[in-house]
Amino acid sequence: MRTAIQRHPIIAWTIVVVLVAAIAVAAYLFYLAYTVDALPWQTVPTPYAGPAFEGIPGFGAATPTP
Amino acid sequence: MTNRFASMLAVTPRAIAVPAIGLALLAGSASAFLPGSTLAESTATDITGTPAADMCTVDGNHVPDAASSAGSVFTVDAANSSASYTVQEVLTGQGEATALGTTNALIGTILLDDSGNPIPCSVVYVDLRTLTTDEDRRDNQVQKVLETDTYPLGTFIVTGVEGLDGAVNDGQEHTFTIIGDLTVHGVTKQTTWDATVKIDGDSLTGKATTTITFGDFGMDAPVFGPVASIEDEFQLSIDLTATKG
Repeated sequence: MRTAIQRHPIIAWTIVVVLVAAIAVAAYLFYLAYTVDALPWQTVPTPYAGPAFEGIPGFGAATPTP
Repeated sequence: MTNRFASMLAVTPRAIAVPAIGLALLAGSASAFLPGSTLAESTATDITGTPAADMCTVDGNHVPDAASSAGSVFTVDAANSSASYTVQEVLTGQGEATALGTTNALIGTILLDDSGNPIPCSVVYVDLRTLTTDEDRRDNQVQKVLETDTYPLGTFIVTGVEGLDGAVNDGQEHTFTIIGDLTVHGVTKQTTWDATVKIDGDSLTGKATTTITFGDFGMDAPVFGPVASIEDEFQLSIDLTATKG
């Protein structure tokens, strides 16, 4: 009984190579998206909106807001 | 998807980091210059070899104790001042782009002696959390690089000046070099700023710029594979307006 690879080695290995390449490309794109917080579950950037210097040790809420 | 992703990266590079900040001015760790304390972590020295940590303290209102013996004390007018950083983003296929981040969340005091010469311990604080550019995602990356959750404060303390010929309170514009301890990301380094200052009556205006690198302050320049990268070197600047009293 011959396996599919034995019967069609070129086609079979081509499929393997294409699949591996596709996975590699997808992983790289995933990594890039991760680095810029673009993945759906990553936090959407929220610029600091509080009063200036509030909460910084030594300044606190009493610090005048520029 | 590809276009959206590329577009996003084009304006985002994490980065840009830090920076920021300026003239007698900015940046640092939250613990570097607190009321009643000294700059214990500072290792920088002034032109006379005296670290800011050994000579500058502040009171509860963040005013240098040296103000009590100064001839003139100018308080930074935050509404008319700003601290900023400029960094070059290198985008594949698009060449270089310049990112500018600014804030006017400043608190500072500038000191002159009786003759109108700058004296050590002038200080400027910057709330680095408030740095913004034209792109929210870039700002987010900046905050990550700066680790503003841990180090929200930037501090600059003047320790000396060079190249100043005469008093600055003569109503003329003076160009000289300011030397001081800059603290960003919890790291304090001596920095040299090219400054232009003019004092006219009770008003002080000036601009100072310096160039530093991410590595100087323990940060890594962001890189997004072949898509985008950030120059390790970037410029800090501050436009300052201060009033006497």
